[in-house]
Amino acid sequence: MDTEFQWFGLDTTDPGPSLRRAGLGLPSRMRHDGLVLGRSFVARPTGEVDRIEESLWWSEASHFADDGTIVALVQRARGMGAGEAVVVRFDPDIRRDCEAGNEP
Amino acid sequence: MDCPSPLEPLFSMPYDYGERHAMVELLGVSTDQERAWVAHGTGGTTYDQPGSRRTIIEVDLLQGTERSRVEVAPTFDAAGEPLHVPSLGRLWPNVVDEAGVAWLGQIGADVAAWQGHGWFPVVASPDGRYLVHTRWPDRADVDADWLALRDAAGRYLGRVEPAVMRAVYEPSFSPDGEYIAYRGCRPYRGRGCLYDTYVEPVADHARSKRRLRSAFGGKGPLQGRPIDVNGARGDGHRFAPDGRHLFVLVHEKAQACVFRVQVETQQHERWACVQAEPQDRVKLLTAGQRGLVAVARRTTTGGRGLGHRVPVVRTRYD
Repeated sequence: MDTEFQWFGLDTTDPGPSLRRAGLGLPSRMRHDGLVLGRSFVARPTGEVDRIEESLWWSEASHFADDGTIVALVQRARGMGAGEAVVVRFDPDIRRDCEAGNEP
Repeated sequence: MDCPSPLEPLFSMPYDYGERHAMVELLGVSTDQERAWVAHGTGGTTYDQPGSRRTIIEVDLLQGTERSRVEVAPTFDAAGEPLHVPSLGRLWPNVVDEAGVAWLGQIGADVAAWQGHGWFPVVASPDGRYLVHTRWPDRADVDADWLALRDAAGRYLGRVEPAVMRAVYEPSFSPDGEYIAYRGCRPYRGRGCLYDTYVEPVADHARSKRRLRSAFGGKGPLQGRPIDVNGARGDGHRFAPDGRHLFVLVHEKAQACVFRVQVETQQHERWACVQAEPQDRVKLLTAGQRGLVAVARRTTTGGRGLGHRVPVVRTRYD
């Protein structure tokens, strides 16, 4: 048995407005390896937190595919009750691999 | 090196309701990843208000196009009480008619992961053969809701729980589809509740309506008996991938412990514990092939006021 107790960087006392807007409460979805898809962020099992585009918020509902990608709905608000809903496939591993210097 | 965006748009849909409570949700994705269901509408979280509307769109994810759509709106009786209220993937079974349940059931059977964070979701068995959902009382003088089992077409098969419950929550199928686990509230001291975790064999209910109808105080090995781990009541559960064990979360004095319960015999063992104060709300998330994942919500007092932290507990099976 190997039990870990990890803290993600979701302390909402952070003065940055973006983290406050990141969404409180329990994360909506978690991949088998512990990757968490929050309201506007992805928190990795290592504790790293990647924000997604400021204007996008994940819908609370999302689906992890067997290959580890995520199908989710994001919304771009354009005023009161208006906007654009986009179903996206999201590969949370692309950016990490790329920024590590590996070819995308 | 330019890193590509990790977001690949599959389908886009503008909306403009001109009101504050517009809502758009992804209901689910098909197991082959080729279709998705998106619901949108007005009325926000108040599904039962006159004028609220819902549209459910079936999306072709390969083509990025809409395949079909269904418009639904609530109806009301003469007294203004809701009769049929569509919701965003969360049925309010007392006000959704049989056709509505059947229709959503057909979607539910095809959806890989029905989004169950709302109230009263329809849950599909992994093999798509069965659906289960909470149903509100049929009669005004009965203060109890219950779990309805249906086939994939939405046909009613029977009631799941044999004992009289005041409320039932979080039904889930075992990976092999043979069991349903749920939380039940037994009446306690007037309107109070004794919460427990229960497991019922699906076949008993699916094969025999007669048995189910007479199942109060049933004779099955588990029927009506709560999962009891060291005298404590379960506070959340997840089936193990083998379908033969159930992980049950129990909050103890200064820790939260997960017990592994053998479904047929109810033999249990303490599996993993983490330090958790009474104010920490620990919740089981998944029991996947690699291990068990739980999260907790912790309220902290920092220099800038109250905040929340989300610890994650992971336990590997090996």
